[in-house]
Amino acid sequence: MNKELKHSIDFLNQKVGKNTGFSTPENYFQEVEENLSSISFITNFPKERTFTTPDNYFVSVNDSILEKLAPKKNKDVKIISLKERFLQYIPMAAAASVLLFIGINYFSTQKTTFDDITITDIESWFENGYGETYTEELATAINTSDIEDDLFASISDESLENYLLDSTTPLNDIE
Amino acid sequence: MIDEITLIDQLQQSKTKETAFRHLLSQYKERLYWHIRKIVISHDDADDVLQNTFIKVFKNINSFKRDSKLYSWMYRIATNEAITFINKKAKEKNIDINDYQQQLVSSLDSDLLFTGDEVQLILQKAIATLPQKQQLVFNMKYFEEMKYEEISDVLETSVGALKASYHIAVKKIEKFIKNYN
Repeated sequence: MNKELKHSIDFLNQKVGKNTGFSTPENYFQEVEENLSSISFITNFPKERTFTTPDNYFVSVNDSILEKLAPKKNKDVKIISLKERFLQYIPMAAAASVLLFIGINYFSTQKTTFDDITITDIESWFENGYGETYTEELATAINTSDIEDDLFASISDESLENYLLDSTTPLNDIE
Repeated sequence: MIDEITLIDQLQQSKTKETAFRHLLSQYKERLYWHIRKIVISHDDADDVLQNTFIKVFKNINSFKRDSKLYSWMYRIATNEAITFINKKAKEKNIDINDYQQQLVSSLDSDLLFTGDEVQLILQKAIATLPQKQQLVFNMKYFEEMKYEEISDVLETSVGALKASYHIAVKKIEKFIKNYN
């Protein structure tokens, strides 16, 4: 060996020895050994495919996917003519009319009493010539029990006298 | 083979969208299917989720911001759809998602679309005992042989956390298999 080179190597040995200065994490080599043994264990396992598919699956799946992505064709819209639509509503209209008729009749079956007739109704009735009555009719219509004895008792003498003296009363016309 | 930038451009234009989407389907449907299948176990469920994934991709492609690879984005949608699917199923049965997955795996030996032997069945049972994220990391790293950077893109988790997750998952699986009677 070259004397000069040997001298240099000796110098280095003296200074730093054979220590590179590099170090490792604690238990590194133990872990490496364990990891490598696990991986070699697994690596020995067969990697061939154990799952299979039905025949021609990879051909048919293309079609399935493309079919799902195809734009949907508009379904034929059912056209209903105006006449048909109108005819459809006739039975409903008829039923509604019947119900309305029944309803009106139901609510108008209340009995009309004498109290429902106003004085003005009676006056206009007479004025229009409907008030003609006969004595016999009056006699049968008025029941003597309808005439209350107290009716005249409520009229004062003064009122009666004024009534008799009043020139507009028909009695004054009697000669 | 169309480059990714061109493919995305075509997907985001209405005139070329359908053709580009058909290309996307043919390129990625199998890979996404197998990823989904490992999560949901059943073929019929995987079929549903796969279709939902591609429909979502089609409908939302215009909002893809190109801040990740297109495949990572699709993978993320597929993962979320699958997790949401089994979460919903577990909720319907009023059980924990892990319990639900273990139920699914326990019926694999009678599943006509599972051709694994006894050891492979035990491996599936072991995976089903892991927390959701560890399952995903293990499946993506071990079976799909994805790089940690790719997994990080999909799961939006740091590479360091993924490595830790994978190692823990491997240890648990090893322990399960060794203790399995």
